[in-house]
Amino acid sequence: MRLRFIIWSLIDAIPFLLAQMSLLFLPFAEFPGWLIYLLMLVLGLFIVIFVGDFKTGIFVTLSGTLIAMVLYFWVSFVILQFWGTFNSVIASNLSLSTGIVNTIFLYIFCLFGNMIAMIFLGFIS
Amino acid sequence: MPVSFTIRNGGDKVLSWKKMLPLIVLMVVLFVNLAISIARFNSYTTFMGDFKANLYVSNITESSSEANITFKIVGQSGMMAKNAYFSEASCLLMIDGHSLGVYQFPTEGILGQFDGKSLVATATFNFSDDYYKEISKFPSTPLKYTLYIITHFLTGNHDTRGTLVFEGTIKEAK
Repeated sequence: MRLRFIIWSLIDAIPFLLAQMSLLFLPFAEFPGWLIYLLMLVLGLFIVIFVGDFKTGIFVTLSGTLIAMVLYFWVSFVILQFWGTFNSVIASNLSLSTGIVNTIFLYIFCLFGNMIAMIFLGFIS
Repeated sequence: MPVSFTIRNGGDKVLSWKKMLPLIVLMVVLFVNLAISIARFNSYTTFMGDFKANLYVSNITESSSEANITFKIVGQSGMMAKNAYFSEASCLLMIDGHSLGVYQFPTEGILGQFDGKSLVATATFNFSDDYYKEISKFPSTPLKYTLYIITHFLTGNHDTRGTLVFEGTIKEAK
């Protein structure tokens, strides 16, 4: 049970981390910002459906988000530090602090997904 | 313990590759977008890091109380940047420890000629009265400048705006 929870959290954390990084590099991205939020809604929906249980799903989403936040900070730190010059980082408005604020919004969209999945699970049971 | 993605919970297959497929698709879509972004970020960084520009004095026309001096910006990009352009430039001039003020290159959105590799822009500024007294020391006294250039880098639907700063001295008119 505990192992399953950890594996699900990691499965949730990887796409969440990719979404956070996409928002960090949004000025250079192909996707518009709203599409990333929409994909997070889909992620929240999938997670609850895979887990098959709303209560576990909501905690998996929470712990996945926390894992992704820690990874996000260090991975983006390394990218901005080693690839970005001071001038370009300033000019492109990439900043870790706005990234953290975006994380909260991404998580809220995951929760919306969770709720839609809850309604869906209610219908099929 | 064998590493497997098939995890059973009391006989029910809870997690399998087939169930994971939509999540894998989601991950791949996000990953491709992120890879494109980082590649563009990298080329932008290279462009901003490698671009170098200098200010030259190309022509001086003097009369008894004023001088018209033509300045020329010559820039060189390290990489071919077809998706970049420059919108504004201004220079802060200093001679003999006195500031002559900030001079803005007149533009209509796009500064000078830029072919992806080299930038050339010229402008003539008028110096009169006290400024003429100061500038008439040139070229015997070198002219110090701080050049600000506004860069634009187009990626996707986004126009990333940045400022580059260059400092130097002009020793002669050529």
